[in-house]
Amino acid sequence: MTISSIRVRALVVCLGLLCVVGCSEQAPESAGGPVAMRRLTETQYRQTVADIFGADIQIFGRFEPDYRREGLLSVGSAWSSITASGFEQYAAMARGIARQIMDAEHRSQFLSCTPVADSAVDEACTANFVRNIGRKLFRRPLLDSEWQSRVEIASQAAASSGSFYKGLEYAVASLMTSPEFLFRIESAAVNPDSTGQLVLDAYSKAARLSYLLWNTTPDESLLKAAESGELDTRRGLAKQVDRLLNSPRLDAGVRAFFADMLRFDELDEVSKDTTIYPAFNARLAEDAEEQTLRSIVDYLISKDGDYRGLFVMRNLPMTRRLGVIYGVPVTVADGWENYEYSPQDARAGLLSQVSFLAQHAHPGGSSPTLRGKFIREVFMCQTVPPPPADVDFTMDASFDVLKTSRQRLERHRSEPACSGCHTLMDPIGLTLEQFDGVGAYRTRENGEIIDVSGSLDGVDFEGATGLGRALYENSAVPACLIDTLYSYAAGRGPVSAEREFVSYLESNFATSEYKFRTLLRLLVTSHAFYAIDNSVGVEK
Amino acid sequence: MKDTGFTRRRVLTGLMQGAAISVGLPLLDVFLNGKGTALASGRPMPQRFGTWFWGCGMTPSRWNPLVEGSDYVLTPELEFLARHRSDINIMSGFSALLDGRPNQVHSSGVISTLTGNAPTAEGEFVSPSLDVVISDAIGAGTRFRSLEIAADGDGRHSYSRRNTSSINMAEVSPIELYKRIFGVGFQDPNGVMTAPDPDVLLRQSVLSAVKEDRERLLKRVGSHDRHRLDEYFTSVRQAEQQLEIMLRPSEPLAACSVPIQPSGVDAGTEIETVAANHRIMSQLLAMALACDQTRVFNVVFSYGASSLRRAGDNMAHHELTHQEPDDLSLGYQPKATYFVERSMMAWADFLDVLKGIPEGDGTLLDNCLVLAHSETSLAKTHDVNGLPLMLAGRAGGRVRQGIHVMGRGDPVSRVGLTIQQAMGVPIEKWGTRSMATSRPVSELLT
Repeated sequence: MTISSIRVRALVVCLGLLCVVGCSEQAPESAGGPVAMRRLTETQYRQTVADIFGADIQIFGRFEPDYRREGLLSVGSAWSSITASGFEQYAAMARGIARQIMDAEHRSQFLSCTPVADSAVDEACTANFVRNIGRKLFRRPLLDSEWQSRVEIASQAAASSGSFYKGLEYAVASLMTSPEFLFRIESAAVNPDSTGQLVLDAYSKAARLSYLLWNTTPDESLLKAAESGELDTRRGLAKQVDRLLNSPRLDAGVRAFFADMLRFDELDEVSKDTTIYPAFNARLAEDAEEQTLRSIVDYLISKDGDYRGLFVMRNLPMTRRLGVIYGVPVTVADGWENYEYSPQDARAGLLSQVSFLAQHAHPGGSSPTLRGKFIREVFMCQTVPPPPADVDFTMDASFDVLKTSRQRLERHRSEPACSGCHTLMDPIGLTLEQFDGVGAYRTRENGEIIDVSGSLDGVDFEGATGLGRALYENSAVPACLIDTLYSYAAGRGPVSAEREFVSYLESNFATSEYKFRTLLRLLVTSHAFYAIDNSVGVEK
Repeated sequence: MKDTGFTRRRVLTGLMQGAAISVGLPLLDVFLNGKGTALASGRPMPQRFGTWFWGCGMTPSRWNPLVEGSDYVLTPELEFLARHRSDINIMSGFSALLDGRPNQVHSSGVISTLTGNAPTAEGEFVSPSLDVVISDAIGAGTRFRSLEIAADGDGRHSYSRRNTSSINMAEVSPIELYKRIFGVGFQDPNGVMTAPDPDVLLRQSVLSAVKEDRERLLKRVGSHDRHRLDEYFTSVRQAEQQLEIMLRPSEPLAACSVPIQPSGVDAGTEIETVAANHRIMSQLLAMALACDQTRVFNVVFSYGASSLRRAGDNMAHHELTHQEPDDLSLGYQPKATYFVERSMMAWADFLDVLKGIPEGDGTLLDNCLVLAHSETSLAKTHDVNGLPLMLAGRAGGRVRQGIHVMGRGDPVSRVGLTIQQAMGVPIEKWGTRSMATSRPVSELLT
């Protein structure tokens, strides 16, 4: 750490104290953490291409696998690079996209000039095109060397192929294989209005906002706000944030966040034994994911609901396919309709949805342990240690006659090596045992009545509705959401200098009655969110 | 660049002026030198390295042979390899030494084998996997740095990694694998070389422009991201080499014949589907080797914590290893063991495929070295002692075959060191902490 940054930090600490005393509504300042360089995730790449070139442009190729770290692909994206075989694929995708946008049907919409001839080089028109498209792809204006090298490629290609448009294809392919497109590389600049504190530069800010709130590339209005300096002012930032938050496109951003948090990318790996669960297939799994995301967006965004309410809500969008598993009638043959559970029903909230119940289970049965583990880790941000490697947990033949999961796990917990951790997971997971390996309701397992009593951190309750209520009331749950959201937004967990800001978010989240939209606004309108200190290393 | 018949700039200029480029046709009737031990040009036969992985190990009492050397008796789980006995070595008793680090179940064993280092977190690769190290040494001259396949349907099931987050993703579909190898961009080494495709030359320009920003970018980011950018630019370099190779007249290869495109295949973890996909993809992979499209490959039959299952059974292989009681009369878990046996059968199938392609005076397998391995010995307890390892192929005569070597608790890194030395990686010492070793398994080297 340099001397000047120590001074800056000391100043920030003072300002922070002043704020605690004098201006409690103002977010505390933060010395910040390091910038991130994040590879576009598959969904971000797809959405970005659709926004820049149109939804009808197809993408042919296979994406590098997204990598999950600290529970999030978003954090993993700040760690992954591009392998040789991955690059081969990105290059092929870029060529395929470039070919489509330069075909006779599409090209006119991307050109604001008319080439001197379709069959010849036109450097001026090429430069115009490259700078225009390049600004969208790189999320900032191109440097001279960046557009000039692409103009050269395009001219070379136009000359050898005898087609102006063919030339542009190669320029687009080159832009789209550049690290400036494939990665979001954040940069810091000295804050124009103060102390020498580094902050994200305006274009990095625009990209962070846009990918967080809409899960896509900054639109024209955001790029202009970055260009004009508007985004660096408090008022200008608030104006853009409100525009983003009030747009229907916020849904896509919220869906992407929860899909990452709930690990829905792993849902397509879930395979169930078809003789035991004949109703479960890939299309059902897709419906289940969609159901959860719809219910979250509907509750948190359309209804401006309380985050904790996700665990107790009783309204659930259904398809006919899902109705088979839930055992509820669905009148529409195709599409969605709402189903309202009554307070007496065994189901309520996120944890009684098929997406959760089926994903955290075995191919041929439920799993209280996997369900309990996921709840601890994802909704409460607690770590459950892995099982000791060398413990033999096969049981003798008498184990086979135990009828319910509860009996089997009780036997298992009699092993001292297992009991410590299973006590964290099983009493939670067992309360969901009325839902089998795909989430269908049952009251008996192997003929025996299922006991769904359980407890969470000293609170006793019954069944899925009781578990939902216990999570609703548990203070670890909203705090965990904030940590997860912060990591998702910044591509890394908060560093120690940012902890005060996180505490501020926590107390204001509570004051706002846990409104998710309010939390988003608070996060992205706070200066602290954009403060940068590159001397702080990323946690290894 | 000496091998490249023409430079990009020259050919581009030529094309732009409308001049035709003629390229000498290879002599199709002369593939090899007189002895059949090298290519016609006198260049040595390409040497290949690969790994073949199956999940959830074996049953030590039914897998480990009792006698060392060439006179060992095949055990029940190795019986399926009887027809390959003289082409493989069995290595038992080599262990992942964790030095008190936690056993990251289903990950410590395989990472120790592939990197000589015990991970401190699940899936952590502090150094590149063996195949990446070897491909850095021998893989640069071919179109693909390496090819990965996973028969169990998930492309993320790959242990080929440069570091924790850089996974060389596996092909899971026979059709996609076919297209990648033999589709656009494939140049039949025995075919007629025509004028260079102007598209290839322009794609080289596309890549040079990408590379121009390298220095400026590296200055802009911190060291954490500099590594990642470096890796990205290494991948760009590999893509450039691919293009260079496409412009270069290649040496005819007798063993290379373009297969027909597979069709109508399912995906999934059900054992018959996996076995069928494995067979088809092995054939495509073997032909990619014979056509010298790659010299490094990785096959995953099933991943660690294997999810292989039998239709109608409620438990998959991994769950069975933990939950199925031992059959008291047999002394092992029969349902879990079924998958071990199917894995050994699949490995035998794989070797059939490599041996089915004649090359030089022997078979393709003679010019390969393939490490078959798993992440545990007994999966029930996630045991990483006495890992099951097999080494097939002769690496062009540098490796001896047909013996059983007992490791007696030695670090598994001795095997990795041996392999690297056999493949010509200049390395004396490999592995970290208790797995640091400078002792190759000399019995295996000729």
